[in-house]
Amino acid sequence: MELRGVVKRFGAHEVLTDIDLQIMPGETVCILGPSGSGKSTLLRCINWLERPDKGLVFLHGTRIGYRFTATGSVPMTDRELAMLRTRIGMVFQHFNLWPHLTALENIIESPLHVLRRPRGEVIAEAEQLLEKVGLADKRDAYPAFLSGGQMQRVAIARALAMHPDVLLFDEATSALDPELVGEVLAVMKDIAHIGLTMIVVTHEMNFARDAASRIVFLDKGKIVEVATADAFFERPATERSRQFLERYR
Amino acid sequence: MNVRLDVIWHELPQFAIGLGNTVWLCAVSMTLSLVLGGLLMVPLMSRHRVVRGTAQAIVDGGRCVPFLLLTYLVYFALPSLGLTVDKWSAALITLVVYNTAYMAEILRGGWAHLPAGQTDAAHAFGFTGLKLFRRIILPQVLIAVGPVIGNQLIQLIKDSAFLSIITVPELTFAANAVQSYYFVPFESFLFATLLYWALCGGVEWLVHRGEKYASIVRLPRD
Repeated sequence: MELRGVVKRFGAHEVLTDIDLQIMPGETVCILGPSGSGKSTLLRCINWLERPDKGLVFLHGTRIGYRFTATGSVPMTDRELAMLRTRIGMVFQHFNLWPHLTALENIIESPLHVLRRPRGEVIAEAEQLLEKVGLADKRDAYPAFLSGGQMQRVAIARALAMHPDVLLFDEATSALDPELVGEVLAVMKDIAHIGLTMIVVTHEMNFARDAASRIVFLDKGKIVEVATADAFFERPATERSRQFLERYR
Repeated sequence: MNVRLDVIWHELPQFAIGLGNTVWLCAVSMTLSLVLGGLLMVPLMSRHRVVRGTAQAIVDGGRCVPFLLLTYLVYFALPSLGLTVDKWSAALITLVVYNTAYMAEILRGGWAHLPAGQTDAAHAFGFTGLKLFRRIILPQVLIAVGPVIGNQLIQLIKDSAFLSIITVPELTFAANAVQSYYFVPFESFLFATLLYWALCGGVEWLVHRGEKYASIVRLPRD
């Protein structure tokens, strides 16, 4: 995964400025930073939910959003973009489960109807995933009958069912009651351990310290510091990151 | 006053035919309106201003004509353009045109209130175009606006009484025929009213059942 010179503006306001970032397969990268620093926008630029105004985004060497042709690069069609997006899993702050589908149906919806994989196989796998996130008994429950923590765990299972190359977490625990945060973080740690590439926007410093291979610290739309988790938390290199960490001690 | 229930009893077949015609006219035009309204909702939500504006103009045009006047237009005015339609076609055309406009507007409202996160998630999981619409958006929109559609169906049933003006033998027409033959306006019109109540009560009951289902598959808004 690579971002090169990514710029994103909302009107006159520049939300992201010249973002350069490389992420190796199997890495867990945590993006930290104060509210409004552009963390979520950065994540949404990766799967093109927001289109960057400038810069390039690559997934395994494939440029996202544009296709190279003999005459130069042309914007991807919706369908091409969609196929690329199926390789990038995403977990949202507000879960965004589809409320008209049960837990199981949420998980199989895209594998079945976008990837067109065989039904039996997809269901068996979804059941395993529900087991893995500790929700086997909620297989046929609609989202309205699940707690926030349960919904988010279903949402993680839904993302895993796509077998993504990289998994994006957009403040996955920010909308949860404090006592429900732990169950979601536990699942996220499990995933980090199996070696799936993860990019995690979070305010959970303990999670970042334990699970991240690297920390990207973002402030006012710029990358201020990139460091290993140990280095960032023990010896922050910039004044700005020191200030930021102070508030979490 | 001598209440002539025997006349109502004797003329039950005529009421039954009238009720039957009302039911099938409303059922068919409701179904067609829902499908056409669903199709019209797509340009109503278009990103292109011209497409959206045109669709909106069509919808507003349909919604802002009195039903009775629209019936006159279709049945009496179209023939002067060389388009002669029989009363059944005129009835169906009027019902469908009028209600398609309402359905499209109701469905558009439901779609506009769908949380943006729903479409975000669908996009992130590779849904686009028709598949996105059919599998993620439409089911949620229908669940959200179910009760409003139910109300519109009740409105449609009541509006269909106007079709007696162009001699479509529906329930109001039957009641009028009976009362003018036997001079029993009280019995005849009251009986027709009871039948409309029963019909609309049935729709209410369905809406209520639908609401129960919707409460299961709809997230509480916070």
